[in-house]
Amino acid sequence: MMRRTTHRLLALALTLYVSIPASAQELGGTWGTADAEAEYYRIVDLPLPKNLPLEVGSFDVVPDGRLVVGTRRGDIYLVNGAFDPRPQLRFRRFASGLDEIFGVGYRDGSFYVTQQTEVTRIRDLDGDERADRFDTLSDTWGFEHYHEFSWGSRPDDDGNIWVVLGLSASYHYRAKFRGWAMKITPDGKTTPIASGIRSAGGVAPNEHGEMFYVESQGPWNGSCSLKHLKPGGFMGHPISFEAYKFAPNMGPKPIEPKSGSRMAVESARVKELVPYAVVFPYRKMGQSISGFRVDKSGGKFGPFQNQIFVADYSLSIVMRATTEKVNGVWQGACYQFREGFSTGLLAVQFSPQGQLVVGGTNRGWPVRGSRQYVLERLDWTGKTPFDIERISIRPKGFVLRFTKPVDSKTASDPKSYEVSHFTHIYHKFYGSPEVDQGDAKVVAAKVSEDGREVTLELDAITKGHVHAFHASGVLSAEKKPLLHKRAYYTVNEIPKP
Amino acid sequence: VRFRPDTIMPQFFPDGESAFTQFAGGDAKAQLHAMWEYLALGRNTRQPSGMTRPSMEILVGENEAVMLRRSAPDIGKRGISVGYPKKVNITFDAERVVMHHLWRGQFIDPAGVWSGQGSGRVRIIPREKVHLAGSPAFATLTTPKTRWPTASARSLGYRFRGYDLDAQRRPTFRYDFGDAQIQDKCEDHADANGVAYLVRTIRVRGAKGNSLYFRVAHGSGLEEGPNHIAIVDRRVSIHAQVDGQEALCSKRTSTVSDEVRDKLEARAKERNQPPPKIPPVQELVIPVPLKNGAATIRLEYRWLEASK
Repeated sequence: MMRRTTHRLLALALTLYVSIPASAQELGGTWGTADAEAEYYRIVDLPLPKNLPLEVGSFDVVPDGRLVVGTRRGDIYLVNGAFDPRPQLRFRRFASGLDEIFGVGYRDGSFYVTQQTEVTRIRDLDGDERADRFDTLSDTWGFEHYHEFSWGSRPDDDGNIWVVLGLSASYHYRAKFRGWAMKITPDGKTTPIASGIRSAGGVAPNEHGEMFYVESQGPWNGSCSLKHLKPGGFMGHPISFEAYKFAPNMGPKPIEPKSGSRMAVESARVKELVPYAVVFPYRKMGQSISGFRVDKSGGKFGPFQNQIFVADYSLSIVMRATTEKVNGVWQGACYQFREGFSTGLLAVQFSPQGQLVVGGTNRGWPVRGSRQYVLERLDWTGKTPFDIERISIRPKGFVLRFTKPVDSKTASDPKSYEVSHFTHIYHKFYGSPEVDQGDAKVVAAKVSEDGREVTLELDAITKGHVHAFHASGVLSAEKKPLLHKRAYYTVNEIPKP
Repeated sequence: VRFRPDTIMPQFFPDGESAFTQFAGGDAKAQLHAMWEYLALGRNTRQPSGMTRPSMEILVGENEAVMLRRSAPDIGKRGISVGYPKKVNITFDAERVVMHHLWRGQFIDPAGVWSGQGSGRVRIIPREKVHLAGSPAFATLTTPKTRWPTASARSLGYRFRGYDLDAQRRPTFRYDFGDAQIQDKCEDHADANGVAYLVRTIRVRGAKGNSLYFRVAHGSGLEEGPNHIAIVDRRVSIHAQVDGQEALCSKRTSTVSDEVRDKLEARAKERNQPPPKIPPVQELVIPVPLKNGAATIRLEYRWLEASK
């Protein structure tokens, strides 16, 4: 009896102790750029009716131009007025009583909804703008714990919904297909598409139309990241391997990755392992990245068209990301964009007018924004900030493209740039510090003829490392510093010369 | 509130300093000591004050039914709670494809799923409720004495297909059992004295063979009343008809589902106890004669005591 008590106390003590260090959810500091950002991108409050506890979980827009909101409380609202210059919102409750809605998309008269327990096609057959027909398209996965969140895409070009299923209690495989991604056709045929998910956030195509998802920092994930949902791929967390027996289309289960190794080492060894495409260094670039969308507004939202905009729950911010395929592997960069939203953001959506609507709640986890229910909008003011537009890799370095012409004197000076690099430990424990750090030497900085691009030649590029850029010395042609000086490029592959 | 290993905690003591100054003068060491003292009580720890979450209530109006698809008692994640305008309520289990609870009065408290991370479940507000049936609801039996299957509904060919809402937002659940397509709808009514009761209509189409049975109730408090009326927990009577004919309700000895047995056995094993003796339960079963693979079952659920 005594022994058992001791064991129990030890278990409790370990829980408490293990919980406190690096993995603890302390909120990171701000970038300090909110005031400067406001000149270019203005946050507009979309006022909610009193007594409407709107907990945004997902968005879409219907063809008549109304905003669609799917909520954590299980409602779907059609919202008039959200994109007006002076927004006065009118809410129509289209459906209610569903489980947490982390994916809603309209196609051909139907709403395709990812609620926690299933993907449902929802229709209004009698035309009164209230749903009356609910068809369960897929419910092939199981549950053993409340912390098993499902996120779904909008219908893709073929009408398929891609669903990512978080693990049980964020560590375990305790029910069928937890930790897997599924593809569901419009008539409900369900195919396992990828394994190794930990605890997902949003699911959506990248700017090239490939399906990506957001993964959260945790076991086998040193930091949050955007990942390519490669059909047949293994996304990094091996605990759900036993479900390969339910997924003959996926082939035999991969060999186990080694805990304590590095992603670059293991992705070379485990052929199905898909490396993180864009790593978001913890606290510097969000702490719980969530929903994302690509700006297809054709310039209505400013200079970053065709880029990915990613929300963060913990820090109430929106970041940018760009991806490119190198040697058959996706990789890319993330950039600071806008902070200062009023609550933890779960979803983002572009309006037809080219505004970015954001929403979320502060329920359940610590967030920086203090408001409980928030719907906000980001409008481009028409002014172009001086920013790093995108970073692309080259055999001997990187090309930094800027939103405006640069000052050739500062931009061609290698000392205007600091490039450091690091990676994370790829292991079964929660998160990872940045390790194997080093500095890359900028050998040359060559400005393009139009002044918009600088080619940086480095002494070396380190495969598998996040390359952190700090372009502190670069000025614009108008002698102004960058609005955001930092960006982070994840190098999985180096292009061949 | 309970201990959950692996929970990632907020950082209480950044740089060794306490962020919480209202206890022990903000002394980090004293606070840590207090936490250890608290945890040292192990199973005897009591819930700290301030941890109780305020209750909520979903109200059901006079005109429309209300649904919530969230974790429900005895069901789990695929629970569906339905409150009808005449203040009768049910839960339906979309995993085991069976109607589970029946009660009247107030509907549900969603605080368990609508506050914090949503780690709890919906609470049925009134204490008094009856458990109707264990899964599966339908079975094909070779003889009337064949034992009721205990395997999971999914493995027996059940599939939940969704539901339609009528003008009062009352759902007709749709599900398949093998080849049979089933529609299952409850409607709330009031008798001449204004006492609410529930009429459930189950339409079966496309069924094969002619040995289909329906389990009206499953549990420990079942009785056969007069005129083939089943009584559950001495509270609710169930009057069953198939295609307008009185259904022959037979009471049989049954057992719990494999899932329930597995859970009880796993729990005993975890506690180093011998495998539990699972007492037999009863079931009330009616045959469902098919005409061209079709039949309509009508079930009337009435409360035995006068209105509350």
